[in-house]
Amino acid sequence: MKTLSPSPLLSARLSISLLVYLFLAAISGRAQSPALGDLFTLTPGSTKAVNALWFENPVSVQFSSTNIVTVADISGPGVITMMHFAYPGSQASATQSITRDLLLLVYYDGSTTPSVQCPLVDFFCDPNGEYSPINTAMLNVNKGFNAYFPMPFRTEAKIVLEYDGTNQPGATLESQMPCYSYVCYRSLDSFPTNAGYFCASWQQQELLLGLNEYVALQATGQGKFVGWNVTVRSPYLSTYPVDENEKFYIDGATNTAIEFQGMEDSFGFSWGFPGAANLFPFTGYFPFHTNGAAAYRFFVQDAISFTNALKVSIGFGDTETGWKASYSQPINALQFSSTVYWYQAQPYVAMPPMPAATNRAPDPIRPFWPPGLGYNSAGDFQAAGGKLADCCGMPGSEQVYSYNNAYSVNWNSNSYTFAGWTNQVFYCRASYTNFTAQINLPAGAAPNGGHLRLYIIDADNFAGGRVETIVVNGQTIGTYQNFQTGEWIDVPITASQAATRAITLQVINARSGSNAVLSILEWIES
Amino acid sequence: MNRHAHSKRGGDSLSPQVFPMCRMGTSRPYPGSMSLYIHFGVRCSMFGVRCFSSWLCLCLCLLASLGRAQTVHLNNLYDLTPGTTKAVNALWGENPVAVQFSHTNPVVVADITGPGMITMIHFAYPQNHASSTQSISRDLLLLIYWDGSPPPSVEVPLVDFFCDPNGELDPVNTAFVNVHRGFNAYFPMPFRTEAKIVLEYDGTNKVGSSLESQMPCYSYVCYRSLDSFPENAGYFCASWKQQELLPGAGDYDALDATGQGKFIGMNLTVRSIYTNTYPADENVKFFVDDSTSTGVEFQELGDAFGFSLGFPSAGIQFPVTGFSTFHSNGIAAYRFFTQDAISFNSSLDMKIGFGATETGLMSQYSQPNSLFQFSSTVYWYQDQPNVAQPPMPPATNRAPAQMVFWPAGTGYASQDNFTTAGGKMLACCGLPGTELVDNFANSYSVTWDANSYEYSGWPGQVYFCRASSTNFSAQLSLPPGSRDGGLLRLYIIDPDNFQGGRQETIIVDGQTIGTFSNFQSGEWINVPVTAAQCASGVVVIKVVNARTTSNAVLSMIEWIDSPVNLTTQSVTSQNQNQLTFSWPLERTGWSLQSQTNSVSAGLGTNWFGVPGSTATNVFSVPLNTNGCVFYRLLYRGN
Repeated sequence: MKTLSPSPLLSARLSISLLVYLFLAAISGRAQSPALGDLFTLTPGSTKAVNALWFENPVSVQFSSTNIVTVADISGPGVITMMHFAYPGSQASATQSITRDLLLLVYYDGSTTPSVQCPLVDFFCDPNGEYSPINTAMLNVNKGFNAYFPMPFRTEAKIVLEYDGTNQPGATLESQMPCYSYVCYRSLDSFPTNAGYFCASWQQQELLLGLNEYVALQATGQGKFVGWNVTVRSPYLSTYPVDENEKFYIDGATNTAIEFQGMEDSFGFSWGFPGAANLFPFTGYFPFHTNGAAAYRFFVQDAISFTNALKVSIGFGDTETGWKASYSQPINALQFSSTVYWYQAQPYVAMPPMPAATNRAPDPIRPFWPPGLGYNSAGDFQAAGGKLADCCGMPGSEQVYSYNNAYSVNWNSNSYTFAGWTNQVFYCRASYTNFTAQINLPAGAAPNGGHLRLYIIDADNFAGGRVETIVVNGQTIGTYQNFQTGEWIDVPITASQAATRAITLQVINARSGSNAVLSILEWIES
Repeated sequence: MNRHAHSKRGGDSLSPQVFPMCRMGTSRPYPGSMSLYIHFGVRCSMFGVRCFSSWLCLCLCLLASLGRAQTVHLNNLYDLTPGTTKAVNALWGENPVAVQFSHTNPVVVADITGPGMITMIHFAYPQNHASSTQSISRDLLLLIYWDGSPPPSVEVPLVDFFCDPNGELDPVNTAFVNVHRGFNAYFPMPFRTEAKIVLEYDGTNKVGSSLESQMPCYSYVCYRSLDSFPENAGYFCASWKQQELLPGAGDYDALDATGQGKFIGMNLTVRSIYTNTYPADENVKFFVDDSTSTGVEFQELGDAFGFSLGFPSAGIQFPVTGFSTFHSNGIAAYRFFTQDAISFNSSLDMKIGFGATETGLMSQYSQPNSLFQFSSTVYWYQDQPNVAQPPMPPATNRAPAQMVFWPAGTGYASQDNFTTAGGKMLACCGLPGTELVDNFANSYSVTWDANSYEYSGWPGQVYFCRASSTNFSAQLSLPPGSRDGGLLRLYIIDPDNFQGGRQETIIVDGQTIGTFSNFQSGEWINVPVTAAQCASGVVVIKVVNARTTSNAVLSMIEWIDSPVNLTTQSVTSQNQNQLTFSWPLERTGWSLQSQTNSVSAGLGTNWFGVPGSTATNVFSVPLNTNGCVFYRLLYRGN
């Protein structure tokens, strides 16, 4: 499922789509050919390639003896013209297995801080090393990683691979790392005038996008943004939003100079990403894990220049208050990762902190555990015998937890969902008359019976206070009122009741002009 | 250079890529040169006053020579490029017959007066294949001559020029050439006085409509006129070659260029002639400016093309690098260099071969069955149009070699000689890759018992054997037609004079043939096998070590069928017009073949099968008294 923008933004979206279309139309005639116009120029300078890692090279540049390999250390002035990294020897198959525990670092002109610091795979538009082939104008991957960015430098270019995972230098590590690399460069008489240093940084963050923007880059000095790749996923849900805008704040301005209104449009698509992976030379998309997207875009003639600062962020637009509210809810947390590529006048980059290798993998999809339930976490719930937790009416997914996906709830058509309260439990199922829920158990469930736990709250003291009767399996549990701050109701269920594999719950409005509500339903087996 | 002045341009001021105004196909790699300065004044005036600082222009020009990623250059697409742009048509019926294969060969598809620059070349598919399957082969050459130079600067089979070696791949999708029911090339090719583009067919067909239907049915060459040859520009060159060699014994030499230039791409095929695999360990080496060490050396064939650990399992085509499988046992790969082009000032020597430290591979790939065939097309620019093209073999020698291995040191000089003598099976025991070198109609086999092991470490022609420190046996299986008996030929050799000389006993079908020693320089043992012995279809060879601490070896087994007699009945008065043949009953199913020629012509190659002869072993034909008739009996199905 993809989330579409609300209809008021439709016209704006269409105009953006049109611009994107025109942009793509403009480049389509060139296809993916390189600059051919002056290919015939007999470029001066000495061209060389520096080899490393492979056994034909010194052991000091092999992972058998060190976990930080300087694959090239080149004296300038010069320009790196191409870089290649082979696949590991441990995978003769085409399935790639390098993960984010291998970092690519590039240092210019003796700087002690890197100007490029990215997991190798992410640098090559292959976030977390899960996708092959990658076919872009700047990078490609297919049993081999190749980068074609020109990278000029004044006195020195040092390219380093650093493995910071758990293995020690040795034959095993060597078999898991790229088995060979080469870096091609051209010597120059001097650093090109007006040129910038090539920089790239990576980060990953989980956040509530309705409350904070994801900041992908904060660069200072003069420079030019030339591309990025981004992943977006929900840790809890099987979907992700594409409504967030991609914002470029230039030279300290508080307003965006460039703001693409919709993530898919910012990568050249529209109405969400296409149904299947698509890799164009400058822009592309592919599914990421089961519930996210990975996308890349390079900027060439449309590069984004800045004179003293650039901030690149992802967040909802100023007028998208509905989305901001929705994506402020904990269940709608999102995990972003991004690699950004830019040139800047100085080699110094304030790199975002690189998390430890163990914290770089995408978050696994995990059961969402919203605040306000009867247990503090999914772990607590499971330990107590919890098999089913349902946040009735909560947007995105009502069913928070279902053991082995074997437990479920069916609502009858009397109830509607509501999610407009302001407290932790901001949601409910409701009816002006009555509604039922059938809790379905798998065969063999609850041999010792269990507890149905129900949470009702009357957060808005509706019509002077709700009054409602709860009936379970035809037996009246009670009639409740004055539950403005919430109330838990515990209903024991016998083994023989559970053996029918269905528990029927009825909630009946007992006050004319008001309605009946139910916010949380938990099933705990004894 | 002055960053402040420059920053007035705002926007893309930091671009390491290109600056729009100064890129007119005349990039200036040399900042500060007075001639460049002057040139730029001219260029700027052509465009009015768009360039506010000629100094700035120079800086920008420097940038233009840099940073040509393999990306599209859109920055200056808006430049209103001067010069006349035209296209020259040829081949198709709308054009003069002088440029059609119906009337001439070679065809000059374009002859353009300079200064100018070819910007694009297109060739259509032949009329005789409306399908998308391509049928042009290497008998059509693309030749390009610059400035009246007699030798061509481009001399490549058309299909290979388009990264389609031997015309077997479709589509081809690269940044520089593409093929899909049409060949398109986008290399810019500047010239001073003349560009002549020629298609030359040098196969066996004669000029006419048949040839015309097999050649590209249409071509066009697009060009732009220039005021002058671009400064610092080179002539576009391409050459092709194909060579069989033992890569362990020497490098494949893909290019020897002289002068100043820039290497921008290659496509390459590599195949084994004899085995089902090819090595990917070769390095791709660039010796720049007569240096004896490599300036660029990619340490593996797959990596040289951007892959690794060999090539991926399925072909893939990126804009600047890609590969496909080639025939059943090789690969075809291409790579183009743009911003990473390899420059040279006086010479470039490009070779493919093992690295200096890869002695093991060198040894392994020096063995005769490690013969490989390489072919390559290389693309480069150089300052002079004269190219010493490698010799172009005749059309009949340009196809990829067939896989037929005939090792040195056998009892026969070639497979043909062996077959003519009745040879049906040759096993080179222990030969890496394949032991069964010849196996007539796939109907013979050798099965080894578990006692023997393979060895292939001797020097010399016969460097291989099966061996055992005790004894081993081989079971030869013969098809039904081979059971009239034959000659079993065994070759043993003791090149390392092991333990002072091997000694071994050979037993065939339980009968001791002899005990052999002093065979350091090799010995053939002929063992006649009777029809009764091979009636079961099995002949058992046993080799027994006869010397303690030594071992028993066997290097080759040949099976030669006994000659088969084709019997004729005498011509009698009753059947004087009939000639009756008979042959052994168990050879029923074999085919009687004949050819009829004049007496002066004698035996030719015009054999044909006599209808009905495969159903019997007795056959009568009318006696022909005009000329001479030859008959032969051929194994079933052949």
